[in-house]
Amino acid sequence: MVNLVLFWQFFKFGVLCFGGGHMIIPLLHAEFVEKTAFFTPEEFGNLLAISQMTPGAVSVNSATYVGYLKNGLSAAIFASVGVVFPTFILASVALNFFKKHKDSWYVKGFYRGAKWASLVMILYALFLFANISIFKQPIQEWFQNADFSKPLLNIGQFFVMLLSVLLYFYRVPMIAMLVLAALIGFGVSFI
Amino acid sequence: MWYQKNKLFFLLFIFFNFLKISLFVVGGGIVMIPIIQSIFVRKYKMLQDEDIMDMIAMTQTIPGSVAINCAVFIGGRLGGFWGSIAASFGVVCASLLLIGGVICFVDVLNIENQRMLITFSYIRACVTGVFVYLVMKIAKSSIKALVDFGAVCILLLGVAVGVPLGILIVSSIAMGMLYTFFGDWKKNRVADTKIS
Repeated sequence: MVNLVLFWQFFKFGVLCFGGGHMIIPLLHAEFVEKTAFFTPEEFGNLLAISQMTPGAVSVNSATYVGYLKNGLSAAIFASVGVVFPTFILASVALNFFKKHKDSWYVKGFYRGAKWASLVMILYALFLFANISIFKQPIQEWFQNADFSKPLLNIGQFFVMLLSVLLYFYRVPMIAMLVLAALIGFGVSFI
Repeated sequence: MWYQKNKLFFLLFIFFNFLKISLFVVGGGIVMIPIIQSIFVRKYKMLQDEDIMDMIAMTQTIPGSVAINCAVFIGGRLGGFWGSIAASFGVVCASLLLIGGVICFVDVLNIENQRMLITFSYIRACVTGVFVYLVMKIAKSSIKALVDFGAVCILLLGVAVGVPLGILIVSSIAMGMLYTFFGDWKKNRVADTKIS
């Protein structure tokens, strides 16, 4: 039963993540951190960092990971198949429809709306991750009672973030950046 | 070649290729596209460059993550319905193996080693950097007019107020459709008045 619920949840996430696997992050956060509190925000961040570091698709990796933690191997299979499943239906049904009506108002509007949604979702994912890495306390709480005497940023983490943005512009592969960040972090932990 | 003997072997061939791709390619679907191209177009010459162009167009068309969309599409081109099942089964199997392996070493739910915690906070910072880059990239392709900016602001307000994300996504698409509907309607009306 737990497995079937997981399958249904991840099926929904698979339908809703437009424009790439990263869009699943806010959906997962809403379900497993805010609603059911299965993870703390930091644990959730670590889980996604691991799914980003291991090879393969980010969305399938995170689905598999959540499944494993929830109920072992069987749940992992149900969750990952759930995330893949919508694509089958959409690839066979929707693709021809979209091709045929490419210039109609509804397909154009669909794309436009989906692009807006994907930008909003990635901004939200950025906000969630910034809260658990570069800020010392969640930024929304800081805004409510701004206290300028305490520093807001974690300096080390902030510089690693800037460094990784910079390296990305020079087309350094993602795995090299992640390994570099891990090494820096491991080095800092000795200080 | 062994994979040309019969249909089952060919499906196994598709399965193993996608398993291999997702076992060794770090960084998600966008990194996979050139590797799929180099394997199926250059090495085995089973597909043309046009198929890859079609695939890229398709991944932008329908929801779902890029890697799965690619697997379903390429598998379908190679071996029909069963081909796409074999390909996506390969992607899922790779994840099951990898994450199963990771679980043996790292228990994310209770990391107690202080050193590990600090290291992970730096890795999260790096992922934040990746998201900053992605935001810039997606904003460049999706904000082209003032309307786009306004719509995104409205949606962000919705997130801040706490609208459920599923409803938010659906309403974003509805807003896009409304916009193009009235845009087309206005354009047509102007065209009608010009003719008359």
